[in-house]
Amino acid sequence: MSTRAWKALLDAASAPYRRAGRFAWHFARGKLRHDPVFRHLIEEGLIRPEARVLDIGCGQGLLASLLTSAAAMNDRGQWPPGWAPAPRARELTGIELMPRDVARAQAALGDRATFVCADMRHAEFPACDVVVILDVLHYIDIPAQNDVLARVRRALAPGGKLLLRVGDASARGGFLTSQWVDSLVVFVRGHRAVPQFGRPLAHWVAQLRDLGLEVDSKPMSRGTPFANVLLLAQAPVGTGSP
Amino acid sequence: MKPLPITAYTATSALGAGCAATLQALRDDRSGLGSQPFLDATDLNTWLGPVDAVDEVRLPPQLEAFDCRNNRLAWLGLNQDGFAQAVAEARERWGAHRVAVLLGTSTSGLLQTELAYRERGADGSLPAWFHYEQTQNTGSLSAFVALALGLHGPAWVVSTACSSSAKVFGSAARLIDAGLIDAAVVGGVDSLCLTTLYGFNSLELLARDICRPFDLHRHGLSIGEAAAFALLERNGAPPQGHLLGMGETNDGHHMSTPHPQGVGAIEAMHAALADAGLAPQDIDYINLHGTATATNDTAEGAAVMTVFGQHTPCSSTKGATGHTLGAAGGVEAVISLLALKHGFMPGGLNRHTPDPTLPLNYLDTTQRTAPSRVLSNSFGFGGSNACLVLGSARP
Repeated sequence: MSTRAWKALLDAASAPYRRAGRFAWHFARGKLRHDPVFRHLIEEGLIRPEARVLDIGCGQGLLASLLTSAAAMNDRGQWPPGWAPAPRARELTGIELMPRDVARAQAALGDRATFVCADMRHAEFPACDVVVILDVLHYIDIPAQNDVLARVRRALAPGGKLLLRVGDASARGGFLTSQWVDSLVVFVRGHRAVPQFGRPLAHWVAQLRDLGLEVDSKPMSRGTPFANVLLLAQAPVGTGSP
Repeated sequence: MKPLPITAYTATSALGAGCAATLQALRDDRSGLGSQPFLDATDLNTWLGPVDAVDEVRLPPQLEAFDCRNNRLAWLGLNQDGFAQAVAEARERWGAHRVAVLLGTSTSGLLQTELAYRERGADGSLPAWFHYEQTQNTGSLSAFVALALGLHGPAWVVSTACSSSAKVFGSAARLIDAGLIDAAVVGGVDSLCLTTLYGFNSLELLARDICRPFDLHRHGLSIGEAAAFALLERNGAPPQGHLLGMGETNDGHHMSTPHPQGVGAIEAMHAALADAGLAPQDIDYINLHGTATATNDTAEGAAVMTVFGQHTPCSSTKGATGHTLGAAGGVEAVISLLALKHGFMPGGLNRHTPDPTLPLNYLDTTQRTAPSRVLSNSFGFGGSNACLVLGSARP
């Protein structure tokens, strides 16, 4: 994957956040550059063109900005020929509880995506082809996690995908580091002090399989001290939810 | 200051949702207050000004996290009189980041916390549906309104008790004057909650019957709730009225009692007149703070007589709306704008026996005399005083 093209895509995806303030712009640049998950999604073509995408816990809408910028780059004929097809989203919905993040997302992206300021435990999920949940579910207790996953399963079209990144509670060192850093970040960003609900990787996989999803997992913390895993869960083609 | 155009405004209170209902009640000298208790506060023998329509309001799914009585009331208010549409046009005109949201409240969504505490777990945990930042946090109101209107300019809440939503007019005028913004949504939203009701009850400031501003036998407040908004713009849209001047002071006297001679109130009125470049005789009508507490009306009446003498027509509209606390300055600015537009001076209801120590030209009923300049007082706990001078569509 061409590093120059990737850098151009990151710059394009960060640029709209200048409108949302200095913090939002620096955060966008840092997060898109240092979190391996974004490049992985693009490289592997995990979000197919024309997908309806739902990002649960979307923060300031970085994924929406990345996808919007990818489509624009493709339209300008600058999408590198060797890459997986550009992930143009047909519909983009982001759900986020924190008003400041939603305001930044709205300021950066305007009406190119729909941002919903709501609690994922109560928000309605639109019908979609791809659901992305990155480092979010551990904020709610395990019965609530299972309820969100079941509702995601019902929202997914046949063949639809859930891209779920979680911490692996059975990988002690990295998981504790994740938890400690997360507590600090959550505190600094003004959330109430919240307990965190981790589970071992095997439990996550079993939970998704119980919902009738096919599951594949990849470590997704390259270059970071964390124990994060990206789970790719796919609904069977041609059948509804069980 | 240069007259600042007010290009849209709306109020929702116990008098009804929107300007038409408010205007009709004022013209009919009809009060919105009643003696029905709020929720289960049946031990409080008092009168209230609730907005009954709030109970049916549901926020759109995109704003679900903000759900609480205060933000529902804000949503109800924003959707009256084409206000949200007028703001959308201002956003097109100036750009979303050039339009501010500056609002007043005293208790924001405090009722949500009160309801959450009733469901707290044995370990003290609050229920999962409770979101402090999005409901009770004072800033939740401006965050909610900014997101609802798609505005990305400065957004903040002023919470200085009962002067809050008058002071934001001054904040907006200063930001526009400094060139930081071109337009601002100002006003206030305050909703009924148990802390407010029991708090004022403990201060022995709640009236047992309907509140009687400037009556000899006045015995305190009737609490109301309201959402009031105004859109201030540098220029560009047809004005519906003008902000002519603004004065703000602090008594520096007492936490909950005004200065007995109203020195801070006098200075606020002088400052507002000076800001507008007007003399006292240029004011045709004064919308008094007039809470119906013994101390407020005595101090305010003395202050008004010091600045204006005894002849300027005046009244308190709190006998109609109740005291809407953090929304009162906004509500009374809208009432003043309605009086300027429709050519009347609202009556001060429920005064049976004039107080002989306050020989003001107090209007007991609505007069069909058209004012062209109105002064509106808003005085809060902590001695916080704000005074607005408002003018008609033709400055």
